[in-house]
Amino acid sequence: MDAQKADMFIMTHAKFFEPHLLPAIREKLLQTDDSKWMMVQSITYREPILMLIISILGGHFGIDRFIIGDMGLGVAKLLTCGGLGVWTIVDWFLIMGRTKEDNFEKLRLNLA
Amino acid sequence: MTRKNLYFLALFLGLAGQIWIVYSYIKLGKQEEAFNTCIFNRVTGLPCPSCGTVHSIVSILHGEFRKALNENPLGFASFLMVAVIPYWILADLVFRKDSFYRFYSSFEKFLKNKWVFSCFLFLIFVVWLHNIGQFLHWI
Repeated sequence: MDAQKADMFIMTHAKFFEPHLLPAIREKLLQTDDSKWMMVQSITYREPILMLIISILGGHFGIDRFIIGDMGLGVAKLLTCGGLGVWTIVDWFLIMGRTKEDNFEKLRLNLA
Repeated sequence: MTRKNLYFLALFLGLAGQIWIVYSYIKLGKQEEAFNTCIFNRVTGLPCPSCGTVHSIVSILHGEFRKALNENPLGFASFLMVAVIPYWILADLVFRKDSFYRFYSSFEKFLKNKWVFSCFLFLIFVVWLHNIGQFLHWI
């Protein structure tokens, strides 16, 4: 993939990934075949800010964890009243990073 | 989630849960109410689906299963989780196995099936209605 496309992807999708992962993503995109460009563009990523709002509103029931795909943790959070309320608050700070991690994992799987 | 992260989190949650149950057991034994940690209950005044779980677990420990079922049926699932998972993880760590991690992965895969997840949500909703019904003295 040429540098222009990789840079464009980084510019438009930077908010979905952890900042320290961006150089690695760019490198990976440069090594990837041009035929995967359309697929990379069509992946739907989760919005970290939206996940934070969901976590604030429904984190007590584990909804944030269910949406990310951590089903086991979602069940644990739901059954324990959001980890006695503590886990709910801790997740307000963790969920954006976890969403970005999940987005990176999704991209990595598609580029593999 | 990596094996290390899962084991750390589950062990921490399991042991914290056991400490909380012992605290509640002592408090409820003295006929005192344990501290209410449910944010949803404090904000809305209504019980959440898992409210009453600790009361239910204490009833299970007293052998009063019918009472436990009436207080919150999820208490049985929580009791199993708190009683089994920390020791399962410790056994895994001692014998250097990953049986809990494999079980957790297959459980997540099972729950990701949309029909299974819909049934799970329905059950939780029924328990929630039961809790609200009890709170409003309908039941």
